[in-house]
Amino acid sequence: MVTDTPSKRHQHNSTKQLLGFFGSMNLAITLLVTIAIASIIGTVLQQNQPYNDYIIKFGPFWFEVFDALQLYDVYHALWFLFILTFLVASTSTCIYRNAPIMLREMRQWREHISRKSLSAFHLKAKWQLGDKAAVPIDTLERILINRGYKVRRNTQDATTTLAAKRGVYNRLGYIFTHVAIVVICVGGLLDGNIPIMVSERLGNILVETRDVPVSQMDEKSFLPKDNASFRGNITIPENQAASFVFLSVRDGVLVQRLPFTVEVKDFRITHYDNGQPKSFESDLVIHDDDLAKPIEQTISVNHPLTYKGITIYQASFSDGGSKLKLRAWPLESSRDKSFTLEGTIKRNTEIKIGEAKLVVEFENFRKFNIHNLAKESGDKDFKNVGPSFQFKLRRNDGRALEYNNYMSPTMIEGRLFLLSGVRNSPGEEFHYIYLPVGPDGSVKYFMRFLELLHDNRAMRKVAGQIADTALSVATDKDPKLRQQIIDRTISLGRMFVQGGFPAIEQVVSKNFPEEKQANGFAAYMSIVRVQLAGLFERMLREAGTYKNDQLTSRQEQFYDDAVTALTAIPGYDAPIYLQLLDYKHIEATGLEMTRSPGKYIVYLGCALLIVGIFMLFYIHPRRVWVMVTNTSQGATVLYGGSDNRKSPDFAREFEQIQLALDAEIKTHNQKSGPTITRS
Amino acid sequence: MSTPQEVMDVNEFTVLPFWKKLTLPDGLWAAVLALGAVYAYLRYSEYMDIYEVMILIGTLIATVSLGWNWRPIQRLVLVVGALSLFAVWLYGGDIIQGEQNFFLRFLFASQSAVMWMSALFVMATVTYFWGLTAQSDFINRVASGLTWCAATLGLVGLMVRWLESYLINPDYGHIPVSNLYEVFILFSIITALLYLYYEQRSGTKALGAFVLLIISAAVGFLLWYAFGKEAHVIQPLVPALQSYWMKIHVPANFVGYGCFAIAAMLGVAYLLRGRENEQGFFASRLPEATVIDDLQYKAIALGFAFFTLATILGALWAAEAWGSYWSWDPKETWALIVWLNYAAWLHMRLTKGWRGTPMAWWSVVGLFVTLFAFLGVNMFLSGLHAYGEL
Repeated sequence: MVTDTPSKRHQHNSTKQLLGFFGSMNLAITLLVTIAIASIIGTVLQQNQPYNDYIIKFGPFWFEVFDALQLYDVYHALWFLFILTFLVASTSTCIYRNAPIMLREMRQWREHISRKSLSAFHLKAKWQLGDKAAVPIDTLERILINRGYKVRRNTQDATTTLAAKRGVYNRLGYIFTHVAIVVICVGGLLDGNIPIMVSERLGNILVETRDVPVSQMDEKSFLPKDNASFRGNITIPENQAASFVFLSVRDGVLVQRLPFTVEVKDFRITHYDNGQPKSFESDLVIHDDDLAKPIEQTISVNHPLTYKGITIYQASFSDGGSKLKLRAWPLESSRDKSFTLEGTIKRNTEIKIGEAKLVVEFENFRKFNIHNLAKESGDKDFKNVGPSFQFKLRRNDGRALEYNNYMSPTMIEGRLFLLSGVRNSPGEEFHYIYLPVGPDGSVKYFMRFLELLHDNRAMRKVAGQIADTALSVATDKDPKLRQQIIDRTISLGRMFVQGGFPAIEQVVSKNFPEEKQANGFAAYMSIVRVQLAGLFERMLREAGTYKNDQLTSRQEQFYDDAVTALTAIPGYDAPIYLQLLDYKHIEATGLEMTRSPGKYIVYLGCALLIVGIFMLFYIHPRRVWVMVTNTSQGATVLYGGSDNRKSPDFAREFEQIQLALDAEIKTHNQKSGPTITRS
Repeated sequence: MSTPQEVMDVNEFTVLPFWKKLTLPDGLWAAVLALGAVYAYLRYSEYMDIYEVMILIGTLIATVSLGWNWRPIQRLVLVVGALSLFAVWLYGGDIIQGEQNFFLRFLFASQSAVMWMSALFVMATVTYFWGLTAQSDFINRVASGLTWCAATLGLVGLMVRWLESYLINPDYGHIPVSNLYEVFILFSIITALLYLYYEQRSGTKALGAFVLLIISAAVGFLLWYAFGKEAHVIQPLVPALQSYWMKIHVPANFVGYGCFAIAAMLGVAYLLRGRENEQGFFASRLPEATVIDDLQYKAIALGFAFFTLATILGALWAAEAWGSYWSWDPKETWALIVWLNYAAWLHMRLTKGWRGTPMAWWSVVGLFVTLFAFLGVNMFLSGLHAYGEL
C-alpha cells in the first residue's frame, strides 16, 4: 500500500482546491453576470467609432480613461477575452468533474438500495400487508414497464427490490449543453483577433493610423494571403479591381492580401415603387491564376459568394467618383460672369470668385431621389425628382456650409423651381431655396435679375427714374434732393439684397420712432419694390419679352417667386450657385470579406446546445423503487421515488403508481382479502 | 391544486406508442393539412427555393405533431384556415375589396381582424378578473373562450395581412413578421396560446387574469402604434430581411418572449399570493404556491429552449446576410444578456435548488431585461437590427 507523502498530499489538495474553485457554481454565475455587464457597456457606448468622435463626446480626460479600459472595442478587449477564457475554464472543470459521475449514474440501477436510504427520499410510502398476503412482483414490474420505466429486479433473502428508472438521457443533456458552451467559445476565439493582437505585441505587424494610400504603407501593415481568419472591408468603384481588404484595428487599419483579385463590373440599386431600396447587387468577376476562366457572379444582400474559403458579402455602397459638369452662377456680385467647371465626387475643386478663393468639396451624388409629392399627408404619390449632388463650399477662413442641389426643376404649385438646400452641420435638415426657372427651363432670367441688383449702373438708372417720377409732381426740382432720393433708394435696395426684410426692419427701427415704424417700413418697402420692379422690367426688356409696357400674369408670378428667392439668398450664404448640367454616374460597392474557420466549430457547438437543452428540459429523469419484504406476519412494501427537480408532476405520477400497485395487490389477494395499512 | 384526486386520470403517465394514442379524427385532420401542403407546393413551388420547401414541410410536421399532442390546436388550425380561405375568396385578387366587401371591411381584412383580436383580448382580461373575483368556473370558461377567439382572429389577421401584402404589390409580398407592429400581434397570439396550453395542463384558470394583463398591455401598445404612428401600413421589405430565415427566426424568438412574459406574470401572482395568509384574496383564489412555481419554471424552460434556438437561427442568418455569425450588434448582445440571465435563473433552480420568492422576483426582473432587448434596443440603441424603430 502506498501512502501519500505530506508534500504530495498537499499538492493533491491544492489541485483539488483549484478544481473546486474553477468548478464552483458561484464562479460560473459570477462570470455570467460579469459578461452580461460588460456586454451592456458595449451596447451603451457605441463601439469602433472614429477616435475623434470619442474625444469630442467625453473630453480628453475620460477619453483616455475609457481608452485605457479598452471600452471602445469591449468585445475584443484583452480583459473581456480573459473573462471568456475563464468561463471556458470554469465550464470545462465543471464537465471534467461531473460528467464521469453523471455517466456512471446513468448506468447505475441502484437495486441494492438500503431500506434506510429509501426512507430518506422525499417521496416515500410504506404498506403493511397482513394475513400472509402475497405480492405479485411480476405484475408490479409490468406496471412500471408499461409506464415507460426500465426495471431491474434484485432478490436477496426475503427482500425483493424493483429498481426502476426513466429519462436517464437527461444527464447527457447536461453534458451536451456544457460541452457546447466550450465548443462555441473555442470556435469564436479561433475567429477572433488574438493572433493579430499577439503579432502586434511582438512587433511583427504595424497598425497604420495615417491616412495614406495603400502604396505608401509599411510592409508590416500587410497580412499574408494565407492568414487563417480575418474580416475586412473594401470599397471598389465600378470597373475597378482590388486584391486586398482593410481590417480596422482601433483607430487604424491593416491590409489583408487576398489570394485572388475581385473586379466590380457593375453595382445596382433597384427600388420599390415607393422609393425604398429593393436590392443592392454587385456584378463581380474573380480573377485567379488557379482558375481556367474567371468566375462571374452577382452577389446581393443575403446572397454572398464564397471562393477559396473567403466569403464576399454585399455590405454597403457609395459613390465611386461620379463626374459632374456644372455651371457656377455668382450670387454676390455683377463683375463675375457665370462659368462652367467640372467636378468629381470625393475630390475637391478650387475656384476663384473675384479675389476670393473657394474650395468646392464634392461629397456625394444621387441619381434617384424618390419623394412623396402627395398634397395631403398620408396620400402616396411617389415621384423620382431626378439627380442631386451634395457638396461643401469651403472659404479661405476654413468656414464651410454644406449644400444639396437638384439637377432638374421641380414642379411646385404649377411652377418650376430649381431647389438648393443649405445646412450648417450634418445633423441638421437642409433649408431649401426655390430658384424660379424661366419658360425655357433655365435659371438664367433669375440670375440676370440678381446680377442687375448688384449692378451699380443699372441700380442708379432705375433710382434716377424713381426720383424723376417722385419729383415730377413737385414744384421745386432741386438736383440735391434728386441725388438724395437716388442715394437712399440705392442704399435701401442694397440692404434688401444683402439682408432681406430684416435689414430693412433694422433701418426702420433706427430711423423712426416706435409709433411710426409700421408706416416707415411700408414706405421703405414700397421704394424697394418699385426699384425691384424696375430692374425686373429691364431684365425682361433685355430678354425681349416685355410687351405693351405691362407684365403678363406669368411674369408677375415669376417676379413674386424671384423676390421670394431673393429674400432667401442672404440665408443661403454662398457666393455662387452651382447648377448641375450633366453627369457620369460611377458607383462603388462596399464589400465585406471574411475567412472564419471557427464558424463550423461554432455551428457544431450550437447544434449540441440545442439538442442538449431540449434533452435537459424535456427528458425528465426519475427513479422509483418498490421493495417487498416477506415476513411470517405478511409482507411489507416500501415505495420510494426520487427526481432531483422535485416536480409536482412526479409527485402525481408517484401517487398514481402506488394506486395502480395497490389495485393490483388487492385483485391478486381477492380471496384472502388482505388488510393493507399504509403509512 | 384545484384538480381533486378522484378525477385524476390514472393512465396519465402510461406510456403508449404515439400512434396508439391517435384517433381517427387525428388522422383525418393530419390528412387535410398534408393535402393543403401538397396543394400549396403544386401551386407555388415555382416561386419557392429549396429552403422554403423545407420550411413548408417542417411547418406541416410541426403543426401536425403540435395538434396531435394538444388537440385544441386542431380546431384552431381548421377555423383559421377556413376563415383565411374565405377572406382569400372574398378578396378575389383585388385589394379594393378590403374597403368594399362587408365581411372584409368589418371582420377579416387584416386591420379589422387585428382590432377584433385586440377587443377580445381586453374583454378576456376583464372576464378573467371577474372570474377570479367571483370564483366562478363558468365565467372563467367564458374568458378562456374569448382568449381562443382572440387568438383565432389574430391569426386570421396575420394570414390575411400576408395576402394583402401581395395584393398591394406583388413586390411587397412577405410574411407579416417583419416589423414591430406585426411582431406585437404575433407576441399577443403566441403568449395567449402558450397560456391556454398551460391552463389546460394545470387545470386552473385562476392565472389567466395575470397573463392576459400583459397581453392587454401589448394590445394597448399595438393600438397606440397603429393609430398614433400609422404603423399598420404594409411596407415592402428592406433587402436585409428578404430571406427565408425570417420565417423561422422571428416566430422562434416570440415563443421565447411569450414564455418569459408568462413566467413574469406568474411571478407576480406568486408574489401577491405569498404576501397574504391563506384567507387572503389571492391566496384563497390562486393555485398553490408550488404549482405556480412549477409552471413558472416550465415557462422559462420552454422559453429558454426556444430563445436559444432563435438566437442560433439568428446567428446563421447573420452569417449569410452580414458576413458574421456574431457581430456584437446591440440586438445580438442584448439577446445574449437575456440568455445569460435565464441561464443563471435555471442554474440556480436546477443545481442550487432555489425556489419561491427570489425566483419569482427574478423572473419579473427578467421580463424587463427581455423587454429592453425586444423594445429598448430598437428605441435607444442603433445597430444592424434597426427594422422596428419607433
